[in-house]
Amino acid sequence: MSSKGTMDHKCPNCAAVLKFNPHGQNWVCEYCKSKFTKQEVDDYEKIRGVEELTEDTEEVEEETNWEGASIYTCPNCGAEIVADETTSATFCVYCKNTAILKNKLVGKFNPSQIIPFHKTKEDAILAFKNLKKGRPLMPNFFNDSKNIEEIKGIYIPFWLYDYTISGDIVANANRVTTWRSGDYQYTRTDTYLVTRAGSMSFKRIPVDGSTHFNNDIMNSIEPFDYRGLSKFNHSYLSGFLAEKYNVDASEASKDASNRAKESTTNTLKSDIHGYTSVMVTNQNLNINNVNSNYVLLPVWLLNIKYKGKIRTFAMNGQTGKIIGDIPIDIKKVILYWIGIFILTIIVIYIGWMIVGA
Amino acid sequence: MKKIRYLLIIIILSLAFISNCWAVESVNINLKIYDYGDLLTDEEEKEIKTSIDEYIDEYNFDMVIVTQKDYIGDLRAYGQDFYDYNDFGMGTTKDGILLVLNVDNEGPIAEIVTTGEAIRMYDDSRIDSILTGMSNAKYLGSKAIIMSFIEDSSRFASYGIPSSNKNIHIDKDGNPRPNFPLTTVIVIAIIISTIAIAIMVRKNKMVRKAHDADSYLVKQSVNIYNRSDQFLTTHTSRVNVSSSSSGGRVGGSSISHGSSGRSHGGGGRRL
Repeated sequence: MSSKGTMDHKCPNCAAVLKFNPHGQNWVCEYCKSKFTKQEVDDYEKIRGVEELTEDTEEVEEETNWEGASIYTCPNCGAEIVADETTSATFCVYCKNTAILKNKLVGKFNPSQIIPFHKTKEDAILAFKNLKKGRPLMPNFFNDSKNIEEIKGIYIPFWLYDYTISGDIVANANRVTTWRSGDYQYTRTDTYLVTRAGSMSFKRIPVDGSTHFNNDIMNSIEPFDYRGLSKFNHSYLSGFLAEKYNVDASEASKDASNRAKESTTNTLKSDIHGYTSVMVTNQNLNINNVNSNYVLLPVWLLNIKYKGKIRTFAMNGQTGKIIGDIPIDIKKVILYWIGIFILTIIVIYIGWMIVGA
Repeated sequence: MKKIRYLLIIIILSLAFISNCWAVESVNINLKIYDYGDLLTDEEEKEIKTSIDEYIDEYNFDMVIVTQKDYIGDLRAYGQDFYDYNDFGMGTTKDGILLVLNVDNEGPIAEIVTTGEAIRMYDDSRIDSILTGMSNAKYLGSKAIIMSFIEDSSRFASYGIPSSNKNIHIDKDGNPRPNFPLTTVIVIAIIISTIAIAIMVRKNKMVRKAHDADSYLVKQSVNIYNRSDQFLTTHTSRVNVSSSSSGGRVGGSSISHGSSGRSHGGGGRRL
């Protein structure tokens, strides 16, 4: 059933709201505890008359447009939901029901594929708590459970690019030979002009398509396992937030093409063997084939404000790889530095005494 | 069988030790001058003894003079054993200096043996200087050689520890040891603690910009269709790598060990 631009998924048994379960890769009714497969959910959606969202699905006007934000009606409790222009799935603040905003997932904003969440909120919280292991300079403030509870699962819009690149690199390569004769050590440096030309292909280089997320953070939680890509279905959004892209495919491609060119240069350079040093002086690379694909990828995100600055932590919702902009506790730095300094002197002194100077 | 072998080894070693002790004359250690070579008159011995006593009183180092004539053997080892087995020396570290003066048909040979704090006091440079003074006095007779030794030893003792040996000390067994290099260790500790903190800080910096797309390269698609390696130029350079070794030295003093195992400094040569 949809209500004024929003949609959700109902339990076939009790009509309560269904949520996607990452561990079971199925849908669970939080009210009657029933579990459903994707096929069962799809079948019930057909009976309810909920249409599948595709590129051809007609866009629906939002009820109101208010200073860049759109107002929708919660399909569960009827309350108004305010969402900014890039939000495609959100929560009703009153009943906590997931509201999937149809308008943000149709036409050119209809993702072709999605990797569903495999990691739950509990997994993400545990991974975050484990971050402190082996990081003694992390402020204690970050262990506060209140902060961690704010972690949110978000489907982030990504562009996946396929490229075929051909070209050549020119390098100055040195081969250094040393030998000793009498009291002299001789060094001979032979210099060569080396050229390598070739072609190669790249598949599915990801670039996040939203300006709301830091590109470096999104880079850092790579790679996703693309074997987990499924045809997009809005039922996967149940229980999570989602965004639509606001950076189009041609604009986002700059990052991907730069990365592909760098790897092409490295691959051609790695074919140069038998030299002591190699310095690339010129390169001429052409991107011959470009293909882009709009997908949604799962990320657990946590923003913590520390000393006036927002620190973002992200976990790959599929693989569990977690990264974060972890601040440094200066007091701990000073204490550890002094401790290591004293310990080093003591260890050297004991060693000195044992060896007998 | 094994036990018998061990017993034999112990017996042989014990005999070697005893024979070493017996090789050195047991003497009255208060005399300080032992003219076995009969190179001095009684008057000369008295005069020298007076100078030795003054030296001992002033610098708290023992001083021993031994003369020999046509001595065949290692003068250095003889001097070290004479000093060690007769238990010369001041304090627990047996501080002191000994001169063995041997005269054969080619002329006088001097061997100076230093022990304990005297190793620090008389570095190789000072020993060489003392020997040079003795060499200059050789035409004036044995007494002049010995007096030159005493005067120069006193002069250098009055200067205090030379800078070349400021960074060593004598341990409780009388062996010279380098001082704990505190400044160097502090610098090492600063470097180690800074590197350790840098590693810890780096562990917190998990966010890294991706510069390449190596993970997305289709390995089977890589096709290198042109390889060219063109020789341009060559250049040869050379550096001098000759080095000299300086084994058996602590600070500015050459060190050797007597049969007793004690460390000694000093040096000697034909005058």
